[in-house]
Order: sequence, then C-alpha cells, then structure tokens
Amino acid sequence: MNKKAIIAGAAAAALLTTSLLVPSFAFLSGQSRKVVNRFVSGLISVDLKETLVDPETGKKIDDEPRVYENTYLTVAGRTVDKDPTPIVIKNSTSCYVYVGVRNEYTDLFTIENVGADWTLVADADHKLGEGVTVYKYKTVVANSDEDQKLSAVFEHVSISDTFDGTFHGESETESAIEARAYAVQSESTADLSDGYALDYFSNNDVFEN
Amino acid sequence: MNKHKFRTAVLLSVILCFIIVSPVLIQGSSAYIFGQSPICRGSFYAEPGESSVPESSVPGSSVPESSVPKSSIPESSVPEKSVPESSATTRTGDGTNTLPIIAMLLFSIIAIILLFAAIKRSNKRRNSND
Repeated sequence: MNKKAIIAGAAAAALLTTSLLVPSFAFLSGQSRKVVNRFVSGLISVDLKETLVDPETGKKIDDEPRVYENTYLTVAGRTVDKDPTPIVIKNSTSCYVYVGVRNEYTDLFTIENVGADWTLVADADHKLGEGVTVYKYKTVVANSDEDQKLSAVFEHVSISDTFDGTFHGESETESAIEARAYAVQSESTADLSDGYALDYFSNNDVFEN
Repeated sequence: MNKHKFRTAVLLSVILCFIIVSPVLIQGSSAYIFGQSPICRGSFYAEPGESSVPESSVPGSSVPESSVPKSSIPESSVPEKSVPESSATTRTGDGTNTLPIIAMLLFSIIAIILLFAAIKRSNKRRNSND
C-alpha cells in the first residue's frame, strides 16, 4: 500500500513538473551571446646544464656551450669545475626552484662553493637517498617572457687525496654526480613547496632517467 | 545492542568514506603545477695506476698527456649535439582535472548519506519490532 502511494506520488510529481516546464518553452524568448571564460593550464619548464669541461684537466673550456653531461678523469687531490645551473624557460608560471644532487661517494667527492643564492633543504620527515642533497633557490622565479638563467648551485667538486684509483672496489672504475632541477608553482605553496621538493627527491628513480 | 551495531555501522561507513575519499585527496595534493629538468651528470672515471697520485705531489698536471688516450674519453663528454632534442625539453606536470575529483567527492557524499539512511531505517524497524 505504502509503495503504491510512493509510486503514485512520484508519478504525480513528475507529471506536475513536466506540465509546468514544457509550456514555458512556448513563450517568446531571447538569449544573449554566451560569455566564454577560457582557463588555460599553467606550465613550468625548467632546464639544468653545466659548462663543458676538458675531461683530462677537469677545467672548463669556455662559458659556452653548456651541456647535460661532462666526463672527468679522477685524479686524487684535484678540484674540477662543475657548475649545474638551472634555467627557467620563458612563460613558465612563477615558481620555487630546487636542485637535487646525488653524490654516490661523499667520502671521495666533495661539493665545493655552494652558491650564495642556494640553501640546503632538509627535514626529519623526509628520508633522502644516500648522498642526496636538495638545494632551494633564494626567491620565487617570476613569470617572464624570456628564459631566466639562475646562478650555479655550486662551482666545483674536489676529489679526495686518498683516492686509490677505484671507487670502493676493483671492478668499479666509474662514478657519477647527478643533479636534477625541480620547480613547483609558488602560488599557494609557500609553506608546502619544500615538502613537495623533498617528496620528489626522496624517490631514488629521480636520478635514474 | 542496537547502539553497539549503530556504532559499528558508523565506524564502517567512516572507513568506507576514507577509502573512497583518500585517492581524491592524494590526487588533489599533487595537483600543483611543477616542472623537472633532464638529469645533469658528471661522470668520473679512473685510469688504474695513474690517478692514485695526489695532484699536489706532482708539479703541474699529474696526468701525462699520453696516459689519457683520446679514445678512452667517452663520446658523452661533448654531449651538446648527442643529447636528443626531445630530452632537452622539460616534462611538465599538469594541473589535475578537477572533474573526476568533484565526481568522486559527490559519489562519496551520496554513499555516506545512503549508508546513514539505511542504518537509520534499520534502527527504526528494529525499534518498531521491539
């Protein structure tokens, strides 16, 4: 009985609504031109390059060209040039810029001359991989219609004078220091950006590809 | 008895709600725009027997010209041209589409409402039966 009443009520309501709405379409009507607001998704593009060095001496050849990879002959006690420098590509949304560096052998290689514009970022909640450090650029990099080259994160790498020709073993004769830049929008992330960057660099795969 | 069941049902609904909503929250938290650069690498290689001599102990360069044959230097030392054009362009994170988030939220809200309604109804029935 109850069910029948509900069904009847629903049907009545549906009929009533239809009967009220349908005739209203018969009246003369006019409409304005539509207003369209287009929301375009923002972009952040960031690049990271360093000065080309002479592999034999570890010294830079010239300010240009800038490259993604350098090769160094490892000589005990030597200090080599290495200056990873981020470039925020034009038309990027205003952002905070971070650079993560992975140094596999911190006892053999020491990062020297960290730029004054860069500060080390770390907190207890984020466990970064072995030899990974994260640096943050001092200010927000504002949106611009030109590429913005920031200052180098660091300038040199020194090689320990205890280096014996191998990297912790006879079979390993190669090692690497990798760096990667990460930028996150500055709007609404003032208190969160460090956490995002540390989250990002906590993932070891970040330095693999 | 009823109260206990009601509490259990509420607890279950909260857990269900959390399961439904948590992916939305996780997705939402990573919705900020970000960009990442390609990896910038410095490869260090050793020439056995040569590099163990400290730089400071030998005047000038401790590595004789002949000890580093040109062929031993990997091609990648001059990578400007060898890096594919595509790797120079940065990958960029997009803002997350908000539509699925809204849909998921709506869905979870409706699910909660339905759940509470069902609990209330069953309680009423029990009470009336008692």
